[in-house]
Amino acid sequence: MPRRSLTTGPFRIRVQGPAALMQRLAFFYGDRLQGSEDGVHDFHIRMARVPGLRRLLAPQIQFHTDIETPFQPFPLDHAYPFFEWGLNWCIAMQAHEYLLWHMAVLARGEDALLLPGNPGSGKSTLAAALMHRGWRLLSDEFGLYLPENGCLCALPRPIPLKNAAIPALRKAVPEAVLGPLYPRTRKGDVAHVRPTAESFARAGEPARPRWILFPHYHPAGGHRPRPFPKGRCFLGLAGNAFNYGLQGARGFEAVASVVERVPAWELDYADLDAAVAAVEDLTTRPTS
Amino acid sequence: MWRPASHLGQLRWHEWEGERFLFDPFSGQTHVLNAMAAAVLDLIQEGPHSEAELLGRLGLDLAPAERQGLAATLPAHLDLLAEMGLVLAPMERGPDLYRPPECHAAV
Repeated sequence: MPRRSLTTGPFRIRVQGPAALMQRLAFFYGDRLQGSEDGVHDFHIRMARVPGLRRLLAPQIQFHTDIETPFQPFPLDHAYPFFEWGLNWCIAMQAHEYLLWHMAVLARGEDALLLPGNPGSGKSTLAAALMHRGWRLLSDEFGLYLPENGCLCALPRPIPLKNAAIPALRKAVPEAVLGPLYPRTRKGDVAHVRPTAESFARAGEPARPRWILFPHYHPAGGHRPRPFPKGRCFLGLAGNAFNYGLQGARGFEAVASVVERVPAWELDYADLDAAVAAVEDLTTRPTS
Repeated sequence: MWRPASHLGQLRWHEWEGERFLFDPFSGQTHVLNAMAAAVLDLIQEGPHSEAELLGRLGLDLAPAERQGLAATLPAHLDLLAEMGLVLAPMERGPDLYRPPECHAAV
């Protein structure tokens, strides 16, 4: 099986897998996927076909790290989303030098817009739209926050959209580059949005939290950001951090510091264009 | 007497919108206290207080009806603070809520 080295944000991943998976990684990550696998890697991932008679009827693929096999196998043709979910798991389990928020993060210059939210809140869909409207994608799924310098690291990776969000983005942002549709995965139908060239080109540039917006996709969304109380913001950010419990006092003070400094809003939205306009209005207001 | 846990001075906390968000380094837990619970905790941190003494100090500026409401809710606040490990209940409340300070410090 081919071996490659994938570099995104602060992580270097050694990946081995079928040629079709490598082609998909090259489509999404471009020249961040390198042929050379020399040097030190943060994660070692091997995607291997599952042996046995079952492979003849319903071929499967398994995700291995160098030390464990944490999941049940997936259908072979879902190898790419399986890789991305597995990489999420690797980061969540090991990258504890960061406070790992579950959020999408976009940046304009050095100013970061944080979009925390639970699955289904519409944060990834909104992030994908904003990425094509003047923002660079810092990261989706994770916000990598370093309390010591108060910055978020970039980790540009394809944005996974699910179910109704896929046609919604295609309609609102026809220029977005999406990969193939993976139907009936464990999270429903999934398609990934390729990060913009600017997002990859500026992956070495961190950003500081400047705005926090809790988005909620809602059919009756009013598209008017409402100020979000600091106490609720604290609970939202602490509750959205994968490793808050592991961080102890460092995590508590990091969340508190961001809550203290950064204004927060919540936004109900039903229409992506209107939501993008609301974010634009919010983030271009003069600072009071 | 209700007494402060020995590590109370090591708590980290912030207040927003009248609520106190505190981190207990001994338990690793984050707690949210409303204004009343925070006021009770502050008084006990000053030194041991009986329930009557707490009621007297907290109710100084309250109208009679408000004092009645305070008297009704104070036991629940105290029990909650004890369950969080932030205050130590009087011995007569039984072993579930009473832990000697030296034992608590070793947790």
